[in-house]
Amino acid sequence: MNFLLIAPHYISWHYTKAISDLIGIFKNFIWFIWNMFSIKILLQTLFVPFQKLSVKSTKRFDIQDFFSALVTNLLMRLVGFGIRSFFIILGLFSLAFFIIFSSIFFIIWLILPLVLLGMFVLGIISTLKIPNL
Amino acid sequence: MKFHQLAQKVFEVYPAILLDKIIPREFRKNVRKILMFFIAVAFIISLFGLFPDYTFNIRGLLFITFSLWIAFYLLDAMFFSYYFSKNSMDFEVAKIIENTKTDDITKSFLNSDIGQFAMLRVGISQKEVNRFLSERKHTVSKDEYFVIENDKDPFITVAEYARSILHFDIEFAAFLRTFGVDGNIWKGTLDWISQNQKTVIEREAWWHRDRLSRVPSIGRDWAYGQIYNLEKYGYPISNDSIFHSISGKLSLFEESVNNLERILAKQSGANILLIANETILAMQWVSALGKEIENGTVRHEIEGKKVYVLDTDSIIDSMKQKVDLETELNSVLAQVINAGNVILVIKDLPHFIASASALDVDVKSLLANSLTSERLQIIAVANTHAYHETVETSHDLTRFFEKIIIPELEHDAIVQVIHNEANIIESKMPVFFTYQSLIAVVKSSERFFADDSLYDKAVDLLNEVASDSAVGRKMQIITQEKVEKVVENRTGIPQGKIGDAEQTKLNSLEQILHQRIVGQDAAINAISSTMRRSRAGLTDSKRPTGSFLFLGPTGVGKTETTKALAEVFFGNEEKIIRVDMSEYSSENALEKLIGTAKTGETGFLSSKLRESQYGVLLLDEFEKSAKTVQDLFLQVLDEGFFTDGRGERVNARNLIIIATSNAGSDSIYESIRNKEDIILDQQKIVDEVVKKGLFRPELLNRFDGVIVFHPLDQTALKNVIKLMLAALNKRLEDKNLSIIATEKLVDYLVNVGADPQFGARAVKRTIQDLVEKKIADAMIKGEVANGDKIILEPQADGTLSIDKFVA
Repeated sequence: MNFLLIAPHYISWHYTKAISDLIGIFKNFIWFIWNMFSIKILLQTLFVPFQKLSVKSTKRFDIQDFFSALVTNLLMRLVGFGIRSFFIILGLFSLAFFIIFSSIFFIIWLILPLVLLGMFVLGIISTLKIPNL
Repeated sequence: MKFHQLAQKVFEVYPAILLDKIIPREFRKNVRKILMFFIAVAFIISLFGLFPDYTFNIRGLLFITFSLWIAFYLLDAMFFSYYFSKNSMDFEVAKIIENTKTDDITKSFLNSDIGQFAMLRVGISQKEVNRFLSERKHTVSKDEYFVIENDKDPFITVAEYARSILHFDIEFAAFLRTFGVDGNIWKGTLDWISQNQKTVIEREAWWHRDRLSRVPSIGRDWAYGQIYNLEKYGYPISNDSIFHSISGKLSLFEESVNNLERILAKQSGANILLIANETILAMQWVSALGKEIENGTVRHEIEGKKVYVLDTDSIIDSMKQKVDLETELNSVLAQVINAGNVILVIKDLPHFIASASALDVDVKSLLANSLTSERLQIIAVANTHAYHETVETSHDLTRFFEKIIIPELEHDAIVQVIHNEANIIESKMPVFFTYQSLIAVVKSSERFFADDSLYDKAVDLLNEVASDSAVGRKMQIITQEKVEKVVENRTGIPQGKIGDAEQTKLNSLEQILHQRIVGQDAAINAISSTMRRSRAGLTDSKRPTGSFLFLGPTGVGKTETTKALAEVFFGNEEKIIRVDMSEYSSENALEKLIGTAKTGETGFLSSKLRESQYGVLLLDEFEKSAKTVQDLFLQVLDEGFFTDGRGERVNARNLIIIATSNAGSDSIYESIRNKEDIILDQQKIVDEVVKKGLFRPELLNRFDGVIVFHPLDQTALKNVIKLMLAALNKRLEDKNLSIIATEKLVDYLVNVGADPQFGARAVKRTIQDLVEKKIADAMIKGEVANGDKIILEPQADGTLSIDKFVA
């Protein structure tokens, strides 16, 4: 019954140190999602041409050439804006989802020892039940 | 910190220790796997309703296994939580302290997992440990013991704990010493083991920030330009093997990374030139920077930057024409500037400059032009010697760089770096390295294969030793002796513990040399004692095996001594690289000797030493060489290597260097004439040589010994003649003939042949002219036949007559 020796240490950990650790891990994940979707960088460069692709008008005083370059560059900016906005929104959604998920996880964490005990006892009862032959 | 104070701090991690004791880590891992298997089976059965009558029971089983699985997971979570929390000591130290139940510090340590493993790593068997524990007379109690702490960091590591045991338990320290384990080896071993253990556990911590940061992010590069060309001719620093070898050792580079960050964060001139004797050191710095950027723990100015290494060989190899290379290189640089988020790394700038110059491309000005753009950031790496020769002189280029000189890595630090390599080899082959074997690998690489980067050579040797030893599936323990055996096979130089035969040879070196050299007692004694010191490993491993300047007139045994040394130490008197230094007196002497990059010619000395770096290097008539050449030898004698004209290192550490010179002969004759004691007069002769400006005093001081050979007197000459006649008899053995060296003949040869100016060389010529010629004539005329013993009788007219008899 050595196994039971660990129980009091575990319970004390579960409701003290583990909680602060969990908060640390949640922070790590929020940082991770924020970085993975590069939200800060995408916001800062929202209107920058996609992958810095741009054309320059080559001929001087050629209106057509000037406008064609302007349109192309505007288009690259629009493409950049579109793709970036999409990923920013995706990232923010993921963040929101993670925050909701972690809040639920946190509540489950608080009752987890009881839930596990309940599951285990229920499992024993169900396993031992004589089937209706 | 005293033991009881330490014991009080164990509570910080006590639950994890208790858990490990009740349910060991491996066991927990396996149980989790088995439970997972049952969960999967039960889940499938209940999902498909395979046993409808037992559905309820199977769901019950699913509940039990699932709840147990979570419980085991949570226990591991608790373990990691304590393991990774900020404690006062290593988890393993806490474990050892908690398990120290008896009042015997050493025994408790040796019984711990880490203690047992440490003994294996230093090559001491459990049987030996048990014998020590049963035979020792004293034990160290908890009251006597305390940990000698590091002033800078109060955290107590396993190595500190174990090293303190060595401090208090003198008997244990003596026991380790009998196996060649000193305090440094002991500490290094424990550092290695505990680092490996930490790495294994850290690998499981996927929720840590540095692990999460390895997942590539989306869209980070969209705001920056593309670097197609750099991708073609380069690779991200994370693909460099060094990048992985520093994982877990980031803290070692904290200061270095700070230095790099400080410069890179500048508004302009944010380029760095890292100068190091070992380019690997510089690459470690760059890798550490790359890692910190990946972890997101750098200054915001360099946040998210890409560290990219330009593969200079690849770009040069793909281009055939000057124009192609220039265009391609310019486009790489232009893209890097346009991208705006790349730190470009040039691994070996001098090498790049030199190889591009073969296509007549001036890399220096190409780089300088691009560097005028403040958006280009370069970290260039240069080897110290090559830097001085190629880069330093170009002010146009260097003004863009801030220089950082990286101090040379001591071989202890290299040992630490090759731990990782040893781990990789151990995971692939059934071999087990003792810590001493790693030290032997690094030491031997330093001494015998020093012409390239020490790190690369050490890794090569480590791999060679492993593949040599790995036979079949049985685990092979690689010891210092095995490493030395491989080195010995490769170099032909005896290694390691001096064997009986060699021991005898060394102890009787004087007698061995005297078998070939007549007289010269002082010279031979000095040479012998220097060579004995060298073989016992007392001399500096970074210098040549031995170096002597032989002063004295012609024909007194200087060359003969050189031959004898080659035979004794390299097994063959042909193992001599002879350089006639009178040929190196002109202005371009140095170029002739070590080559030049201008014409691409290799020098005589550098190519000879590349062919064979083991043997005796004989520098004949050293005084006649140019001053520049003598200066080169200042470095060779001091550091054991030189850099040739192409900027490559040439190793001279395995040579016995002997410079000979007739300088001072006049003073020697004078001493003889005045009947002064030549041994006492040695200093006078050396002073004379310096005064004449033939050698600079600092050059003379670099030699292990300046040996003065004195002219041979009559008795010595007679002995020389006897030796020469014996050598002639050896040659005549084939013909089944022999000469009897009568006293009369010997006296005759001395009288006819002795010439104080030419010493033994003159009598050698006399023997050739008179004796050998006489016998050859007689053989042709048929006057002597097979089996004859010849007596040469001096005649009154000064000729020799032949007398013979059959034995």
